[in-house]
Amino acid sequence: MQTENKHWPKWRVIGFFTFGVAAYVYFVINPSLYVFYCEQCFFFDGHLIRPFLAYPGGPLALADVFLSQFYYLRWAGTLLIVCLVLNLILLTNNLFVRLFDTRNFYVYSFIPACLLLALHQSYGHPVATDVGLLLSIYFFNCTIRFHRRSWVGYAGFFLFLGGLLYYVAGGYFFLFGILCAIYEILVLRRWQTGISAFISLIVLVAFSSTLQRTWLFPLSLGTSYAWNLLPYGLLLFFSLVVFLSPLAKRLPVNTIIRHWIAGSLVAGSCVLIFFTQDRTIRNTLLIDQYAETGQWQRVVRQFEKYPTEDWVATFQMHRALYHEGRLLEGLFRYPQTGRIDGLLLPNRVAYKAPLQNSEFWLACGHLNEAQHWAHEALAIQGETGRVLQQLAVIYQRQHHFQAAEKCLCRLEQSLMFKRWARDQRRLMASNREKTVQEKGGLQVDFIVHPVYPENDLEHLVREQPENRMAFEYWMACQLLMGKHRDIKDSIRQFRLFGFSRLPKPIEEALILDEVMSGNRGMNLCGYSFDKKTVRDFYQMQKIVKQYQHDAETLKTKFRESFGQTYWYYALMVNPNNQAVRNVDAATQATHKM
Amino acid sequence: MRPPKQLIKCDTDKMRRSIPFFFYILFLCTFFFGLKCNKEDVAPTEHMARKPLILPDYSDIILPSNIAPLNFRILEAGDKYRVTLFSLHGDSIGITSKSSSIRIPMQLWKTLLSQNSGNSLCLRVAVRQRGRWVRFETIENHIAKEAIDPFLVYRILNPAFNLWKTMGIYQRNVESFEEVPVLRNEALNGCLNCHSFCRQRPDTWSLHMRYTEGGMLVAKADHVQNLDTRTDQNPFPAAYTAWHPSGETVAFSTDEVKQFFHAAGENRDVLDMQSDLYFLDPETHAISSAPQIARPDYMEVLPTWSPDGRYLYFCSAPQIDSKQSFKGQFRKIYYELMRVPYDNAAGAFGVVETVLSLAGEHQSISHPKISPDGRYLMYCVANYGYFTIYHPESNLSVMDLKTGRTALLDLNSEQSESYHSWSSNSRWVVFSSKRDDGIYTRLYLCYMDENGRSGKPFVLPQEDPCFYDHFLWVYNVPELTTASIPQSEKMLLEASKTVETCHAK
Repeated sequence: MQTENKHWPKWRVIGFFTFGVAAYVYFVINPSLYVFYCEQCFFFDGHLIRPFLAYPGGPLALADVFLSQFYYLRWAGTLLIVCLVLNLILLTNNLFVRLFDTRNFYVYSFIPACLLLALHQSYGHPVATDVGLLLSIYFFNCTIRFHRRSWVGYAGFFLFLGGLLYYVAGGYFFLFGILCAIYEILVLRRWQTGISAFISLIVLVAFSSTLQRTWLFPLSLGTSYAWNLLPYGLLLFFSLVVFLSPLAKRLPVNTIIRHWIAGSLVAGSCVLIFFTQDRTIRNTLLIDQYAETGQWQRVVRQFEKYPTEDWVATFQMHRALYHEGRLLEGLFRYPQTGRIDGLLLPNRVAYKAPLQNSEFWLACGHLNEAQHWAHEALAIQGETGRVLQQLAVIYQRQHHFQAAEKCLCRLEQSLMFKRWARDQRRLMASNREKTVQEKGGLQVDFIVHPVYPENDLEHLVREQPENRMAFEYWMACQLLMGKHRDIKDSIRQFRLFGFSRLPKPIEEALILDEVMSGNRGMNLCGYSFDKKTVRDFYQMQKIVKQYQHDAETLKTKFRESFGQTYWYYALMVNPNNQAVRNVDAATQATHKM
Repeated sequence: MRPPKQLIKCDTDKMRRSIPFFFYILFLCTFFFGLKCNKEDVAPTEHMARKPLILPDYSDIILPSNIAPLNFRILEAGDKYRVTLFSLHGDSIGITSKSSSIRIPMQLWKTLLSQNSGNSLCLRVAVRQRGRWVRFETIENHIAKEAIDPFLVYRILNPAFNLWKTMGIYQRNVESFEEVPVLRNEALNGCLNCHSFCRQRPDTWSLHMRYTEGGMLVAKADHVQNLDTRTDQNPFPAAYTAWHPSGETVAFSTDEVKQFFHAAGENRDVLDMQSDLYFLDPETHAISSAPQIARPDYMEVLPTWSPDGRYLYFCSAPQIDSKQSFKGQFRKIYYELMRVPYDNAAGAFGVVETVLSLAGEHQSISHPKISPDGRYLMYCVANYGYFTIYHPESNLSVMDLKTGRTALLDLNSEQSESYHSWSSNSRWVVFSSKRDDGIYTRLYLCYMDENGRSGKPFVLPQEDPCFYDHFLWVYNVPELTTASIPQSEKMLLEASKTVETCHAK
């Protein structure tokens, strides 16, 4: 009777817990970031769906693709995760009721829910593993209900459910089989059925031709979790529960102690959630998301809040600076430790972020390179919504309208991109003639070298003198590579782009160059050095002279006063700078003044 | 041509046999649709003085009598579509559909085609627009007497740049829509390259795999071996292969390939820094070369044998200066068509002679393929180099080997026409083309008559009429074969695990 009266607080506790989960998922995890880590797009196309149904575990993989598209929307992704967590709580609770014949253990069902939440903090966590787990527990709960039947009937039922689960969820049949075997042997003491279950597992392992797909899929360690064994922990939890259930029933434990244990375990699980947070990845993904949606101010703010040395995040931050109109002005306000890596994506990193690179080159007007990287993205990431959107836009700009139609046609098969594709198609039809009259990309050919993207910028500046983005990026490259000569030769172009005064790092580079080369009176094309910059240079000169024999102190003092200047970068950060080889040279240069 | 009076609805065979069932259906139709349906059917018909637009374009083509149904989509606005296919003999096929996608029943199509080899195949389309049926002019195609080889082997992959993840060699039955994988790279974690058959025979063939244990997979009957063709003489893996008609020798090129990108126009390009031809004896694993062919001052590539096995044809260009190659010199690489006599019994080559050179016209010749009857040699012509799939200007031409006359084929388009293959009866060719959109390569079939003239090419038919509308993969290296490849994928995978070395002869 006592247990019956506790029904209403149980639902209230579950309700509160679920609400907390929803808030945590929405505000902290932010499911829309999954798309930026591992995007999957579902297309309603029989040609694509059919292969999934042809192998055990395929339906689960299909469900994975289908459910993953909910992550495109933050609220839908939250809803999905909350549903999964809630289902896990209810199924675990159901399992406890069946195993222990009491409803008092419901608090323990929050433990796997917490583990699941911890797993979801890894943005590569496949939703299929959650569904597979739920199915296994559900099927196991079903078999427990039949435990009073004869063992022959039970075996038939087990084989039916096991076969079904094997086809639908592949490797999760193993969890189900192990749970059944343990339950039969330890709880019901029915050796025949228990051993049958084990034998069925062995038979499956021995004869399954698609073992790699069926077994390794749910337990792949390829996904980088904060703790790699966490997914196994979740599976182990259920095995342990069944394993320990005969003992737990016999232990006369005090209610208060029991509550303490339950509370501690749940609290421990919550702490686990806290420790398995991967803030670095979250930050990078958030920057990516802001960049894609054109929220440039937020990109810069996020980067300033959580500075990172991740090349892709730094690359996005530079893009944001450009779009905010302060790429050159603000270039050295952020640490430029990687020379031009980070301003432009180095080849090895670009393959990890091909879509972002494609977006950059598209904005830069280098259509062929944009197409190149969008195709690399297609090869690596497959037919995802964002890749197809990018390709459709690039093809249109290149006048490959038929190819763009193909991408739009594919996107129209997607729930999430249908509207965008239709709008784009209408836009394309209305703008087609106008677009054809425009130039579809560069008219003069040159050899593109992905290893040296800065060379492309130089070509772009030459071929498209009106291309402001290419110019600013090229100037930024020259600063980071210390090529003062090209900067000097390009002063006139600042005038063409309407700069009222030279950006501060450019002034700093020119002053340093003037001093080091001893060539006074360079042609500034009507510009003049800002008085403050000149004053700062004298100040810097004093510091260099003062601490020239103490490199460490010089660096510290330099950073304190001029950490955000080109001078600091040229003399301290990038000693391989072509113009300024080392501090000694700079010191000698300052002596000349 | 008028349609025969007897018109069979594609899905009414069983109804005709079962009268009660027919009446039952009739009752249901009357019940659900009432007189509305009848009104529409007897609505006046307008005649449109033009042919309907259909996609893929299957109009005015010559088709083989054993081809799979040419399913298509009608690009005319309407709420109901009626298509009638008829020929001189046999029953017509009538299809009524609310969808503009028309799928022709396989069995009826096969019967119609088999009864009408050498006759015309007419396609009549009517579209219901605002309650009135509009009938278009009849599309008239021609059914060739000669069948096409029933199998087509090709590679499917993403538009290739630097990275690839999934690719595979697939085998398609052109008489149906069945496509099965020959070998996919998922299990190999490597790249799969050109495959080559001995006289369109699927029991003797080879393909290349590029990964750590990769090599040339050589399949002869039930025996498959993975050969590492690299020796001290030839440090690069094999690239383009050609089987001698006897099946005793495989000619292959070794290429130091460089991929690079352009800023304007087609962005991908490939050039060989060096290449040579070598010969493999698949039985002894001996690799040989001939000094007159593998010349250090020339780059030899793309070998092909004459059907009688007495000549080896290949392409050759002067060796480029690797330092200057990317400074514009690559645009001056003009491959010439060469040939060298071969004595199979002695295994000896004669003197190399130039068959055709277009270098004076600043054109490059590549991908020579001789028809199995030995009459015509088909080749690609591009502005430079030999990687014609990346050359929109690339066109297919033929040379009459009897007269030496050459002709540009009518099948060409403004986009790239590239890799091609003959059917065993020399009447059909399959080639890859980007004519559809300039990006995605598709396979086109085309009839070649006895005089070396081409018919209008048509895209390889697919079960789903909209298949090509959203298929973002490309096809390449199409090869027609007389039967299906006997080796299973599992067998090929198993063979790929053991690498056998080759030795220089």
